[in-house]
Amino acid sequence: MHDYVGDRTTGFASPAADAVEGPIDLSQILDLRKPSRYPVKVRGATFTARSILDGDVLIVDTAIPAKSGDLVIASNNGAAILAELRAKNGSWWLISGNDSHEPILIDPTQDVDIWATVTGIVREKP
Amino acid sequence: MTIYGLIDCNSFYCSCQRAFEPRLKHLPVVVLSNNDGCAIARTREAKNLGIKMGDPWHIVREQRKLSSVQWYSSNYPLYADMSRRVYQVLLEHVPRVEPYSIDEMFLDLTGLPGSLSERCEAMRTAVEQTTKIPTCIGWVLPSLKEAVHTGVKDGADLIKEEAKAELANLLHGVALYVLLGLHRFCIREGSAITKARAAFGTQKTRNNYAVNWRRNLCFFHA
Repeated sequence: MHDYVGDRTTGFASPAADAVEGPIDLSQILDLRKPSRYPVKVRGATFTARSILDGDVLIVDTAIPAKSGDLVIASNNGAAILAELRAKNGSWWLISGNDSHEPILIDPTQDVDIWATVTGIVREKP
Repeated sequence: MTIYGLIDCNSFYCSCQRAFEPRLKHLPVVVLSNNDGCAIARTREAKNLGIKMGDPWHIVREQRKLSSVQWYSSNYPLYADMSRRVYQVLLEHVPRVEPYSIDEMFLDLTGLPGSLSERCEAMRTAVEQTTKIPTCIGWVLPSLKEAVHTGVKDGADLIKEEAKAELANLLHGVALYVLLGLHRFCIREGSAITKARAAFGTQKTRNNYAVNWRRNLCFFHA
C-alpha cells in the first residue's frame, strides 16, 4: 500500500504534505524496541478485578525491578503465571487474582521466580 | 592495544525455547534442523544423555534413555529476535559489538575503567536478566597474553572462545573477513591444538607463537 501524502496531484497540492507524520506507531509508544520488552498474551480471567481480561496482551519488562503491588509474570515450578507481587513479613509473595489460591513465596531455589514486570496492556476488542 | 572479548550464548536455540517455557528449566532440550532432521542445539542435560551435534533425530529418538528429551523444530524468527535483544543489551555495556554469528558477538573491551572480570560478570547478568539466556565471555589481556574466561562451560567450548578471542587479539589489524575465515577453518579442525595450529597457518608464523595446552586453558606467547 502506498502512503498517501498529497503532493502528487493534478489539482491543488496538499498544504499538509510537508507535515505528514504517518500512522501512530504502537511499538514506539509501548517501547517494544527495548531489549527487555515482551508482549505476553493472557489466558484466563483471574485478574478482572484489575481490568485484565482473557485474551489481553500485556506488555512486560524483564529489566525493571518489580515493586510491591505490581503485576508480574512469574514462573512457579515450571508454570508461567500472572500474579500480584506483595512484600509481607520481610519476604516477597505472589498473590493470585483467584482468592482460592494460596500466596506463593518467591524462592528461586524452589523454582519460584519473577520473569517480568507488567508495564502496559493492549486490548483489541474491548 | 585493543582488547577483544567474545560472548557466546550457551546452547542458544535451546536457551531461547527455555526462556519462554520455564518447565524446561531442568529438562534435556534439543532443537532440530530444518524439516526436523538433525539435532543442532542441545542443552547440557541433552549432551549428557549422549546426543551428539548433528545426530539424525529420526534414528536416535527411539532410544529409551531419550524419552524425557523435549525436542523442538527450529523457530528462526524467535532466535533472530533473541539475538537482537542480546546485541542491544551488550551495546549498553560496551561501545562496540560485532555480531559474529546468531549466538556469538565480539566485544571491544579496550579502555574500560574498573575490573574487566567484574564488568563481564555484570554483562552476563544483564543479558540473562533481560533475555533469560545464559552466556560465557572469553577475553585476553594483551600484557599477560593470558586467556581469561567467565561462565561455566565444558572444556571444548572453553577453548573455542578463548582461542577465538586470542585470535582476534593476535590478528589485530588484519581485515575482519580474514579473521573470520581463519576462525571458520580452525573450528572444523577438531582438537584445540589443531585449531590453534590451523589458525596460525604457515610454519613461519607457527614458530613465532608457541602454543601451550594446559589445564583446559590455552595460552599463546608472542
